[in-house]
Amino acid sequence: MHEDLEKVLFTHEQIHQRISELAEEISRDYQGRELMLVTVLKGAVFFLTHLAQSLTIQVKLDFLGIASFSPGKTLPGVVRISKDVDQDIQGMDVMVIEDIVDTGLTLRYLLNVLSGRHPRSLVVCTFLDKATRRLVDIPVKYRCFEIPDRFVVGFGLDYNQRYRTLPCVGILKSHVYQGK
Amino acid sequence: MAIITISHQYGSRGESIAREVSHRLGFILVTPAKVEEIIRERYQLDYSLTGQTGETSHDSHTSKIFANLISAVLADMAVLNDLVTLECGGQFIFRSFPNALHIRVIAPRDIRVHNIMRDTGGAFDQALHAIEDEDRRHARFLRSSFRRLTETPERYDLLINSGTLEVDHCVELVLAAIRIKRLSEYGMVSSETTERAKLRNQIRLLRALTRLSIEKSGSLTQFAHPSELVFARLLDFYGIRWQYEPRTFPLRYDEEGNIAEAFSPDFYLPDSDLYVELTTMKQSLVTKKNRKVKRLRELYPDIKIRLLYQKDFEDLIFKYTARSPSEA
Repeated sequence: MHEDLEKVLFTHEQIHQRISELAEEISRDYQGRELMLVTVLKGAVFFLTHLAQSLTIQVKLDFLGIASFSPGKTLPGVVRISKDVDQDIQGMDVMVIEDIVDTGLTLRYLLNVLSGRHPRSLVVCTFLDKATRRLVDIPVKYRCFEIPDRFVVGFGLDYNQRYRTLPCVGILKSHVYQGK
Repeated sequence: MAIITISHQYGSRGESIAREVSHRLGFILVTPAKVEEIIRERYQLDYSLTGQTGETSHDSHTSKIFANLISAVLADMAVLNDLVTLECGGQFIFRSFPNALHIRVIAPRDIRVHNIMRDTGGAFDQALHAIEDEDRRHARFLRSSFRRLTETPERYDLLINSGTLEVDHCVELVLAAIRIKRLSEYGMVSSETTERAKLRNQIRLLRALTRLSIEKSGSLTQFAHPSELVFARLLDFYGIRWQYEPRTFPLRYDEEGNIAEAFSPDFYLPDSDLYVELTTMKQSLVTKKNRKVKRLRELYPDIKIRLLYQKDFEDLIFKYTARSPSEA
């Protein structure tokens, strides 16, 4: 186990097993249809590649980037789309791929933006779901794991760009992100 | 963000030393005039840190509020910049700041008078009066703004008597102290820490503006705390409907059946049927809020409530700030 991890939540084997199960479920649900996977950069990329390789249906890939945008001194924290999807999603079955959903605020913003482009269907598939932190109801149709309210890293999730390439998902020791 | 605060006796050449130090280090020099200019331009307020002899343009309560505003303005500048502050109360504002060096420049009275006579071309009596008036004004400023009656030497890292040293020698002493304290190295903080400090400063600014009743739209007056305003605006941006303190929940009754304790959560999000309570970093308040939320959940099990701690609040805001654009 990496020295900065307090605990491993999911091992490499558990992650692959669960992704395979999810891919089977999605392939069954979208049998005979083409699915557009819109992945939110960057944390979800690891999840995307493993999921897409396990699907048995036709998929298209596209990506969204999000950045903070503070237009004024008294409105910190709002976000903007820094990298939009390249393809027209009108009439398509779209699945937003996320690494982790917690408050749901940003995902709600993304879903509002994408639904305005009139896809045929729009659902969310997340690697991790931190449901206890939810502030708004977001219909997450597919999830790999539900996790407790702890700071996790690995398999794409980072802290200050570190730990993304860990093959597992683990809880980061608090002294690491508290700077002690 | 490294801070050099320079406090000086009028006529002791403190301003010359401060200017040269800031020039040699490449730090931003913040003078009272600069702070007044910022307050005037940003908030359309006139407040004089220097003041005129004998004038008391504000009562002590207002002075205290302006001191908070000055503190917030300086703190806001300090987040991203290395500063040399001159006579702005920086030694009090940044007293607990780890990357600060506090300098006090003094000189014997006759030297100070001589310096003022040379600078102004005035007579001895005029210079002496000017020094006495300025000393009184300075004491008044400290007393009304920071509740400090006297300057105490232990407040400073370096006390310089410019009566026996040239300005250049004084500057060298300050620079040597900076090198010894390794201020330029330890002044660097991570981008996420910087952004979090910026948010806290913004909230401090909002708090100071609230007390000064600056915002004429009335939106600030609706909330008890500036962080609630920030949160409400965030919800507005994300299109989340909210209500502010729409319901009060009795938590305890006295022997006569009167409500002895009640709780009004800050926000209700009707679309999620969820109450949200914001809390600050003060541990005593966090403990109190935790107890109230726990009691509410016991008495009203059907009510959904989230307690958003300061760190949760900042995480919400900085989820996409710590990383570069196009990353998540």
